[in-house]
Amino acid sequence: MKQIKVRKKFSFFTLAVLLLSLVLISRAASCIEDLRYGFFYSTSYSAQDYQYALQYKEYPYLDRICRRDTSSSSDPFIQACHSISDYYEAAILYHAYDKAKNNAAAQTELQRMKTCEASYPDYEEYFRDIDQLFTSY
Amino acid sequence: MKCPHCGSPIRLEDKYCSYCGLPNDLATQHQKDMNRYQKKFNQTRSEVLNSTRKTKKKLASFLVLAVMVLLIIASYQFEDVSWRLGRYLTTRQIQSHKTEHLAALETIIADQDPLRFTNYYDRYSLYLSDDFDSYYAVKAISSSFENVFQYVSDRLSNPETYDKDSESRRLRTLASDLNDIFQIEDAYTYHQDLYFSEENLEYIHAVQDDTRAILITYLGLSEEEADTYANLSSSRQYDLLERSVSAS
Repeated sequence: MKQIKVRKKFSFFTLAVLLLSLVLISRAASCIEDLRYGFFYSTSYSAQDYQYALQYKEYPYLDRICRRDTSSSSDPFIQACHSISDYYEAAILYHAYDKAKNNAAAQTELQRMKTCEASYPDYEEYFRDIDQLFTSY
Repeated sequence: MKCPHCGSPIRLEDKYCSYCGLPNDLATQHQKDMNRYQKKFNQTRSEVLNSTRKTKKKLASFLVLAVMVLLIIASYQFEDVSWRLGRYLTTRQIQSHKTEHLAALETIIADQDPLRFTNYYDRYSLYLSDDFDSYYAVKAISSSFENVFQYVSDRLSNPETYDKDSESRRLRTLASDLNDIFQIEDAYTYHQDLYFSEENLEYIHAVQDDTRAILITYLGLSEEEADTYANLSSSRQYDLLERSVSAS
């Protein structure tokens, strides 16, 4: 009987410490996040994120991460991804301007598309894939 | 003490008298008493030690819990401090680059590029500084345009991804963003002079024109419907969007 009583007390203490530890860890994380925001705010994506977006041809996701990414990576692959994203963005706007007969804006976007294409000829497959999305527009 | 037999001086612990050689009966009794007292002493000491150990254990547990609770309370206090500190540092950083930020925003406004505007404004947390309040409406319309652009982009790449309920929710958000774009001047009448400078207005009208182009190209509205879209009531705007999006 006495042993059981001791064990019960111990488990209550363990449970309390466990719960408080969880709360404490989450509180610490929150404080660190606040400080991090002040000292070095950044949103960065890894090459794997870009790889995923490109592999599955998730151009909206690629476009989103390219716009959010605050790190200025010199990785040629990431730079190519930025160019593909830029092409995708320009293509959406080009077709809209073209249909609205805003020729000047359409030409600017077309030029942007051509620049992206010329900068990364090795990624032509993706530029053509993006073009396919607009066949009905 | 004295020997009960010969009266010579002996000690209580002596089992025999060193003078007459007869046994000391009191010594046996004394030894028994001493053994009993020693046993009792040991028992009491063990009880006291056990009790102290238990109290110590309880005290240690209580202290651990108390320290943790105190740390949690302190973390709430620190959160406010760390948030203020973080905000202060960011604001200082913004102010030290104020001229560069203003020049960059002016360039983006001149280029009429809402996607770049939102990106730049958020990236440097410019909303934390009062120095950029004049761009509030420009930021608002740019964010809404980004959402519309995102909707079109998602729909273009993954046209069949969303079920009916999600699509309905997405359409309502889209309608709300479109409303924000076309009604921006009515929404911020209280700071008209600050928010709607000539350059800002030019930018805002360009974004509205871009949005109309997107409505026609990607959301299936006719030119006439796109032109009159802003004048419709919210429910008619939603109906029109729903009809044209499902048909396109």
